[in-house]
Amino acid sequence: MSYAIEMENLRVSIFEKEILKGINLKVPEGTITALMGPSGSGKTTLLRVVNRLIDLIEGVKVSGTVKVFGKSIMDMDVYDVRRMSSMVFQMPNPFPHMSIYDNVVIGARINGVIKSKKEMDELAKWALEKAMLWDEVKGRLKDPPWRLSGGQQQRLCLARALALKPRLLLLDEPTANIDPVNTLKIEEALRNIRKEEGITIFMVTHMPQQAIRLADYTVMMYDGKVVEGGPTEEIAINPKHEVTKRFLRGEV
Amino acid sequence: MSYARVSSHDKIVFYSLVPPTLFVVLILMTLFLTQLYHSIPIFDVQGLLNTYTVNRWYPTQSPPELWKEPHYGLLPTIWGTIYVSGIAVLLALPLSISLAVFIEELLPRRFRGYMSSLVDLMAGTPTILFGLWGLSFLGPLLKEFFMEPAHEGLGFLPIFSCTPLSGTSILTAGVMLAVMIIPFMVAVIQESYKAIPVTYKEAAWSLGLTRFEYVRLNLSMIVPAIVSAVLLGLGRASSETAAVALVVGNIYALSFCMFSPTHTLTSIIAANFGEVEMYPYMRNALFAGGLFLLTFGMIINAMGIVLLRRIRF
Amino acid sequence: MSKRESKKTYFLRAKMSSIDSRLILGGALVLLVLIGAGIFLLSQPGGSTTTTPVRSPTPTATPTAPATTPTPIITPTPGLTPTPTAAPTTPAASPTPTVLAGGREVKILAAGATFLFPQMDTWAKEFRNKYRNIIIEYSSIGSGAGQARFLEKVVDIGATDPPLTPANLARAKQDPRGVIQMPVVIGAVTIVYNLPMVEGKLKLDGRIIALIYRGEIEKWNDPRIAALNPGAKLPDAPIVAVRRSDASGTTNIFTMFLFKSSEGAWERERVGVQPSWPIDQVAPARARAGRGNEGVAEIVRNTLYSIGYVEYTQAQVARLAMAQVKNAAGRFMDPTPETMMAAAAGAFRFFPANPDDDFNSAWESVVFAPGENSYPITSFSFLLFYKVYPKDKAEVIKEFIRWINTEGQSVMAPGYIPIPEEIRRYNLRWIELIREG
Repeated sequence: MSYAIEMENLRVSIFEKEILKGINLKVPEGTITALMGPSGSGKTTLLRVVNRLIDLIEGVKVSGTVKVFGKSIMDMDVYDVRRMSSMVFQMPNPFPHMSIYDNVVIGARINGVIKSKKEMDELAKWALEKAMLWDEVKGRLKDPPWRLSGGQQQRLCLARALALKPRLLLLDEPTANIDPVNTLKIEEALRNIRKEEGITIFMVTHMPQQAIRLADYTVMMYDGKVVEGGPTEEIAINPKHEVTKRFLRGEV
Repeated sequence: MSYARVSSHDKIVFYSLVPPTLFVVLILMTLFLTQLYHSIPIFDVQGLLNTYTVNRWYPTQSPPELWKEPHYGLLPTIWGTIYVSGIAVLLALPLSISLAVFIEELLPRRFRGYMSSLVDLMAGTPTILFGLWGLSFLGPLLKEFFMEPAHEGLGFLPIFSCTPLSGTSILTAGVMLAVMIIPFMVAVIQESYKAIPVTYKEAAWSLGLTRFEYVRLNLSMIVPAIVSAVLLGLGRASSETAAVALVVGNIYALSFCMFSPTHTLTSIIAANFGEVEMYPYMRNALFAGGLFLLTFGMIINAMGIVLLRRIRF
Repeated sequence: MSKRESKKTYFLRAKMSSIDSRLILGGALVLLVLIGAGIFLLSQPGGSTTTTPVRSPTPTATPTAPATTPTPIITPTPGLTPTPTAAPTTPAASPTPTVLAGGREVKILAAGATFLFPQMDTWAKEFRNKYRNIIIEYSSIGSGAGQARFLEKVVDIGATDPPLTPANLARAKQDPRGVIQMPVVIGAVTIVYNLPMVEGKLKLDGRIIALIYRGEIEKWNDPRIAALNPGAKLPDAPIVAVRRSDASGTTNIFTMFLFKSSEGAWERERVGVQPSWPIDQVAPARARAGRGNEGVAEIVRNTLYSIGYVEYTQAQVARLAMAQVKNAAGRFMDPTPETMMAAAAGAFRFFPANPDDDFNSAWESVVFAPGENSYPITSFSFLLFYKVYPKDKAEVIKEFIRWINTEGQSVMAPGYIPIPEEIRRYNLRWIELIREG
């Protein structure tokens, strides 16, 4: 089995405060892997190491090795690292000054890979369909994104991420601010994406139920360390670690 | 707590704020009305349209009954104001954007404070110092290293067509004003740039943009702020007086050539107001210039402020 | 995490220390700017009138009294017989009081011409040294405003470069407090230029200067200029004519000179503190204007091939080359205290019989005044007094008039020219006109 992400003894500190304390983790390719843990356990930081958004934080120091699709990202050009994956954030954040259409194709447009209008239209349609938003917006692609509901905006962000045709999709609690109906739609979309496109999905989630519904593998984090990891059923049915048990009971 | 108490408290706050607000509004109104009141006699004598569209400035002590044509036309000074501040804004805009982005993106965080202080210091420098600098340093420099080569090489262009004879010129005033308005434009652009929520910046980076593409995307997000910086800069440039009067040449003439002298609305007021009692109606003509400047400035600034408010993340 | 970035170390600076260092840096910057500005301003000769002491004419030297003025009063117009309202015999001989106004503090407000400010300031200080209880305050607000404030009677002394305009004089004479116009110092306008290649002094006459300021003489090597300056290396370069942008008594005198001396090249209607300039229509690119004498001097200094006109005082401070100007007798005169006093003395015969008569023709006549040694662009500056003052002030004003026309003429501010002896005597006669009331 090949791995999308491999981390070895990953340590991250910000202004001498250690956030991640020696992470060893492997995410198999083509799976949905959920990263769970209470607030402050370092989930979001871990996710941001994978596309090196962590570089933006002031005072950060990183050590250890991280490989994405077998390439050590510490030695690579940061822009290439970021192009290997794409990300959906906790807050829906479509660019407010661009139309729905432009938001979807911005990555492709800037990368300059796609030139013709037709190809661009096809890409937008494909991404919006995959994000299960096409039917809702096909008549108003020129509208500004803030005309959409929060859930629709988040699916637009998913479409924007997909339009880059990534092999790895990073999601940072994508449904934390979304209503239940939209949450289920996004989950369905993610399942399809994995199934139909074979994209590896690495997502942070706060909700054990979501991990159970969605993820093949689940990793449990606590206080900057991985305390437990494995197939989701195993962890859900038979948690070994005390923190996992309490987390599943909703106590932390 | 009861709603009644809250609202009565609010009322006290509200009513205590009414007088100062009214006061400020009244001051503004009197400012405008003063200009208008003192302008009216010249409109009566030579016509409102003539006052703003005639290219002739001929101070006279003779009574208006004897005037054969308008004596106080403001056209060249209006043109001078627009020309000079236009040059200023065109030069200042790219520099301001670059400086704002440089401070926000490239400068290590610990130096940003110093750089911002330096920019603020520039904004706080008495304008007359810029004027002296423009007169004694910038003017001769521009004449030697820009005006003369430009006239020789590109003299066929109308804007470079006249022989540069002195460091005081439309161009010098424009360049000096550009330097003077950069701090204000940088402040507006930098504030908006800084205010772009981090979640958009993360989204941009996560797309794998290069720094240049990333900056371009951010700038496109704050286009209204950039336009409003242009308008505020234009407002400032057109209202600057003391420094401009030192370098603009102060000649009443309508010229398209950058190396010519001109008068701006502010410089002609500053130049003539001292001994205005010697010439009947000149005073009113200068007030008419003030009226134009005030109206122009208010529109420009209001547009700038409205645009700035339109930015919503 | 590239190797380069991961090696970066960041320091969480203590908040206080970062604020301190910012303050220090900010302070240093401010200091730097201030020092820079200071050096810059000090290096500007125009920055302050006291930077370079200017050789003032030796006040003790007796002014060259032209032989043409044997008696102080000469009737200006034959039809009008002068009847001096008071005929004091020897006013200068009146005993100097040692205490004025019984030692009570008296404040005299004076306002007007900017040109008179340094001189009035000097006089006010010297006068205070003599009479500790007298304060003379001078506001430098311009000649026009000086006349206006005097007519509004909000000042005790008005000051103006040109005399009262006929309209203003009529108003002043109608007032029961009356008016005394008194020429107290001589002012002169010099023609300055920036032609480093020309050795010796440029010679110019009124007609050529007028044609330059009309825009009709375009280049320095114009044959009309060359004719006056044989042998001078006049460049084949356009002349930049520099003038005042603000309304100014200096411009008034200069344009009056052009009108009187240019044989019709300068119209009467272009004489004034802020006239219309023909060059603006002909060749605006060859014209420039600066604010104040300093502004003109600065532009001339920075502009090769320029010509300008500035007060004598300012031309000396700015160390600009001054042209010799042809006078009414056809001689090219340097601007010097002697030639200016000669011009003043030459104009004395045109003085009116009474101090509340129209002085305009007398003032005009000192410009381009007759006399072999007269510098042609010379004029007087006037103080305006009332004839009636409250008790204490009347006493102070009388003594002030006596003093500025006697001892005061030997404490001139740098660059200012005292008035000739006959004009002092003329002024002293009017002390007796001042009454209490």
